[in-house]
Amino acid sequence: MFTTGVHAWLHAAMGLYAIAWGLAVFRQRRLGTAALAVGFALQSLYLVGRGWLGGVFVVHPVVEGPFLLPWCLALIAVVRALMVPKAPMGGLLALTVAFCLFCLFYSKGMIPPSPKRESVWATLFFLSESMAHALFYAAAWMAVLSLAGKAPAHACYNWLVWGFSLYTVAQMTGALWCFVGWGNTFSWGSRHLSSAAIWTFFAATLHLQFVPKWKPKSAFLAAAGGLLVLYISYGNYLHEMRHLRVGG
Amino acid sequence: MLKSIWHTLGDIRLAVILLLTASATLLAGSFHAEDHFSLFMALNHMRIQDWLPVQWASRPELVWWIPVLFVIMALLGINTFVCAANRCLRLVGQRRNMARGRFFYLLIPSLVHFLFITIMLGHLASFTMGRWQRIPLAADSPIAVSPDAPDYRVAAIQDEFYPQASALGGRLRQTAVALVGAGGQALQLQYGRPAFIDGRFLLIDKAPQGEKAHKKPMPAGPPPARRPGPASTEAAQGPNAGQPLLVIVSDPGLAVIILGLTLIMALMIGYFLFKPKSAMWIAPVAVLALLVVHPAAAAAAESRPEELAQIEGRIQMLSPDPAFKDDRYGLIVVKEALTSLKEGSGGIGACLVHEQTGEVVCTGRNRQYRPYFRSDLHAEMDLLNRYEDWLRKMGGRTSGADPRDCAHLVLVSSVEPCPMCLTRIINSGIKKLVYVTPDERGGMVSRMDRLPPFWQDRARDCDYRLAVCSPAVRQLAGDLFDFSVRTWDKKKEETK
Ligand SMILES: [Zn+2]
Repeated sequence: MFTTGVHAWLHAAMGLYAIAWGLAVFRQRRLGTAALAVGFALQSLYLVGRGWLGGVFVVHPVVEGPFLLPWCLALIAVVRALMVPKAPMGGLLALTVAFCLFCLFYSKGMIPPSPKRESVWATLFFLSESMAHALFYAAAWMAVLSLAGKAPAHACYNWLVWGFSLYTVAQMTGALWCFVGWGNTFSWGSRHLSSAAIWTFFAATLHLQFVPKWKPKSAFLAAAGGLLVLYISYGNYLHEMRHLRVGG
Repeated sequence: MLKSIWHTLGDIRLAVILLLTASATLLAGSFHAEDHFSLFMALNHMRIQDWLPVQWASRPELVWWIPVLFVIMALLGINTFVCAANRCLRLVGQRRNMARGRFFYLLIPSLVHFLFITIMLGHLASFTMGRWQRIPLAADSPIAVSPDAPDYRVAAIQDEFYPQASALGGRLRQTAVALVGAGGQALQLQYGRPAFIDGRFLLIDKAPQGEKAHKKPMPAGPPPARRPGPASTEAAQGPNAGQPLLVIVSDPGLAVIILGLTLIMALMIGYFLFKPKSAMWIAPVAVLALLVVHPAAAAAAESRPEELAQIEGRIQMLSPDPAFKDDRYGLIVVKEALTSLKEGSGGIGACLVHEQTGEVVCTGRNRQYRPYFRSDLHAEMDLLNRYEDWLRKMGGRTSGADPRDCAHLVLVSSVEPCPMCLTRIINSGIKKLVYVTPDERGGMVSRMDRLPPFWQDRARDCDYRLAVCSPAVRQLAGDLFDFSVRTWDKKKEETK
């Protein structure tokens, strides 16, 4: 039912995000929020539609990182626009557009799911992980702004706290998925190890807040953390691009 | 001597260094694990003490990071334990001064840290004591789950495929394995849905391609995450379910890990529920802020002038966030607090605002130690003294006889007022009060139910509450207050 012309919805959503960004830059808040909301709705439909790429509904393509990540950023932007109507939105929307651009060039088919990937724990894991990544990118962006003197020194802190909480949830759901699928809560594979590296890195960044002498360095760490997440997760996505895909 | 070792072990700076080192080690490990996939996957089905010595002897350059990681994690565990223990001891010491609910609330971050250690220990138990048996499954073959449990027999293996009409046609969707015990009891297993019998988990896994041909004694499982090897093998597989394997897991660490994870979840949720009044987005900030408040943080405040300069820098950077209605006044009282701190008094400021016009009528700040010691001159007292003196100069209250007619005024204080100031404020006739940061130890507004009946009665129609401020302003108010409290605590310790 969603199989024909489905990628056009993503393109439309992306166009609307770009418009919302432009409107935010020119301080047209209401119009910008409206464009963002419509774009978000279209992208949500696109993601659900991805579930039918193979002609029969499967969950994994809906929560596949490269496509879910910009949706998470847009969700954050929508929530922020509703809760803090006067907050500056330019940065978040620019990030959303940038990560959408990546999906444009990414292979759009779905990797045929293995039975284990359809576990509920897997879905929860991918959702919480992408959401945490999105928050880490937002934190890194705020950190860069504050390093450039354009935002308060600790502007990234709240983003970090949210990101870290969700990343912890991702570690928990990931451990449960790994156990019900393979019989280990921790696996000695590169995916698990690199994700533990991200968790410890941000744990360090957050603990830095409590060492007054080192606290000023935390913006550097938050920015570096964003790069670390980008390197690890997009390295994975590029690797997965080589997989056999169907329905694209 | 012992005390200084204890403090070094619990130093939060040590935690930061260890976490960063752990992160670097894990990253290095992830590179090795990617390049030598099956070497490390074998560790998923073996005890580490059986695997590591052998690999260490033959290829230390690939496995060096595993012992390093264990040492770092052990140190981190000790560091976390000492930190959390110190914080707990301090909280227990202050317990008499707080309500029971508040005590448990403040205890949560330390408990979360203890649970983190528990989960680490659970993993250690898994790595050193776990057993993973892998048995090829074939219809009608007998399965010995454990020496004590009766034998099971494979009754049926049923593969379900995606419909031929779909693009996934012919691919395996799920496999159901039915086991029947000697006593007729039936069990069903599916991918991702294990069964539990006699202290062991039974789950099915797919035999990797070519495993049957090679018959390795310790077969490597498929990757547990998103990298199912080169795509070509999967593509070549076609409509073929592959041989399922039965994995029998006996993992003494598992219960500990699951219990730890569940309790952490419960505590985090509990933490959210305890403070329903504060805006939802503040709650998680508080969760993690408190989660990482190590007792050592207080000890790490040697760089005092630097810290003060840093706070001042933050204030200069800040402009009020219009999304928070009290932010403008929050910033004013924070600036007053800074002035007071620089003068050598406590870091608290206050102001009176005309509710209708929004104009700041009067400001005040703590002047307890400068120019000379005056035990009454808290910020709110100073503010009201100034306001009432000014009124007298102006010829008394503007509207008639009631000396307490100030319904149009809002008192803004950077910190939750103490008992002395709160009674003074009630007595002054001020009906509206907002404070930027709560004071868990000394604040009275959150404990108004414990005022004497006379004062409770007087305060009945008053609206005293936490201000609606941005997190940045609230954090500043708290930092300024903490700064003076710490200075005071330190002086007390030095004179002892
Ligand atoms: Zn007071």
